[in-house]
Amino acid sequence: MELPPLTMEQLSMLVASNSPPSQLFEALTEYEQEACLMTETGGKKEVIRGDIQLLSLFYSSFFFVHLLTDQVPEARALTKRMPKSLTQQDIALQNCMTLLRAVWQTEHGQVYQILRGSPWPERLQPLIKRYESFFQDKTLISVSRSYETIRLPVAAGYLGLDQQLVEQEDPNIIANFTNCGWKWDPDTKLLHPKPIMVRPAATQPNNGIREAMGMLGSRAS
Amino acid sequence: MIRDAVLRLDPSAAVLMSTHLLLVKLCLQAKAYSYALPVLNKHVYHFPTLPEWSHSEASMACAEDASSRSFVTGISGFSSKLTYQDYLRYFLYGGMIFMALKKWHNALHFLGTVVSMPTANSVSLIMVEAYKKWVLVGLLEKGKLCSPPNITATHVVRIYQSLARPYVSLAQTFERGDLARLKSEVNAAKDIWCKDNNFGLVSQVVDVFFSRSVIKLGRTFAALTVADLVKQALSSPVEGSVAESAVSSLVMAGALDASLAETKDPDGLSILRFTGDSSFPRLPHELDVQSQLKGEQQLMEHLVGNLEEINTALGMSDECLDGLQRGQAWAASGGVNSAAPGETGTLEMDEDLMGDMS
Repeated sequence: MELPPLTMEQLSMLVASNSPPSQLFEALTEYEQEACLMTETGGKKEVIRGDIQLLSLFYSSFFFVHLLTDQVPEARALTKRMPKSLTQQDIALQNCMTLLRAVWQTEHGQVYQILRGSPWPERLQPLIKRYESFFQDKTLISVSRSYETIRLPVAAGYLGLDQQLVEQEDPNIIANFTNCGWKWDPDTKLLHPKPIMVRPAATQPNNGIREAMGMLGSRAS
Repeated sequence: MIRDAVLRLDPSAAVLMSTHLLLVKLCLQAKAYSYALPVLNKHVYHFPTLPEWSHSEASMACAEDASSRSFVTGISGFSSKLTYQDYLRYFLYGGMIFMALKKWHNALHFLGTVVSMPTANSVSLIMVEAYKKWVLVGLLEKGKLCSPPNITATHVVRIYQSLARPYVSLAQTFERGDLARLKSEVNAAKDIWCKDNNFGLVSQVVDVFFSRSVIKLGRTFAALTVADLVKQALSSPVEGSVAESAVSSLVMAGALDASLAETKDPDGLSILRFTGDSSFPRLPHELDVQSQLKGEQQLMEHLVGNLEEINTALGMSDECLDGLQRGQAWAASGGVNSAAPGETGTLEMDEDLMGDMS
């Protein structure tokens, strides 16, 4: 696929689009080569030739798209490919590093805190919101499969819900779980999760296999 | 660009080319690990055939019915000449890419290919390096010292064990379940791990010790409170909330086939129930297994197709045709007449060996 050149407008449009994460990942992968050429490395010296803001937005967007496609080790590798001089001065990229540490250590509370409380560029907001929602869904599925019974504050902590409302046993908070089929026992104050089923994406045989099988068939006949 | 070139020329990436090696090497150097995955995830079934082994005219790359093996040959110019070390390096580098991405199962497969590569007398240092990593990745993936693949020659295994003694010793300590001893061994041989560039892997081995110990406990107990579990697994006191968080992380990551049950008491610790005995629904787990089985089935279909191709190629080779010819000539002279039709191939080859001696 031929993509237009990497510019701030093009990147912002891509980030704000509702494209599936896998498509975003492919597009940004294509752009990485262009982004790499904006940094010149000679020996230990590194000089950024391109637009610093564009580079910052590119790398932070690419980082979030890695997380959205559930590629955490790959996201870590990306942080090693970012230009050092940029990561040392750019707040968004430094926030990405802090977020990565929290995700890596499965510190759910910290993840929500960084996503909601850290200063992020306005243009990156659509991806941050998408990731927060993705992280909540993923966590909810994991909790539903891992716990037989769970206390409301613990479950709410996993989803980053308001702890004050949790203490008041707010019906809206409880509804977050009962809407997924979980049961709430007001006597024991325990939630009984119902495992959330996600059918793995059907893996279609690729063309190579189809061709190979076709060839086998034609040989046999 | 290199990756796209490889896949454009040969979408199945079934023939190993020098470009494969270049790709994985550059990906490792640039820390762009996932870029190599579309090629690494395809299985290599063939090496470029040497000119003297080519029996038919090379097909054109655009021919629809041709497999890549027929046009990626030693003389086609698509690949420069590959040495024995190049084969080893490709699989070692591939294994290292999977290690960086924590895909331990795939890493073990690639390292196993290097470790079990046939050798005449000497063992390549690349193979020894691969064996060291094989030991560590085996601990991370399976929690035990994995024996090299069955096809590895016994003298090669002995060489590995003598040259990678600190690694074998570390793995044995890990298996014995003694954390203090494991840590002291890690510290004592720190220079060795650093010199071999394996310190990162060794540190991860220490990190997975707890999860492996918990998995082992599942073979003995049906359920345990988190406090008891930590006491059994680590034999050292750990703060309740830390233990709770560590155990829940393991269960939620799917590393542990178990479920947690919290009590209504906020200060009470959870109970970990190993799923084997529990009534907890296992459907999600079974769906994952079903999906894995489908993937394996596709892989097997692909493998069968390639095996048939290799079988045909071997059947058409000069060596095979010569053997058959000699066998027929020998049979015609009255050497063999009692074999059943289906058995002739094997018997003739055996008798032929004796024919050479006369």
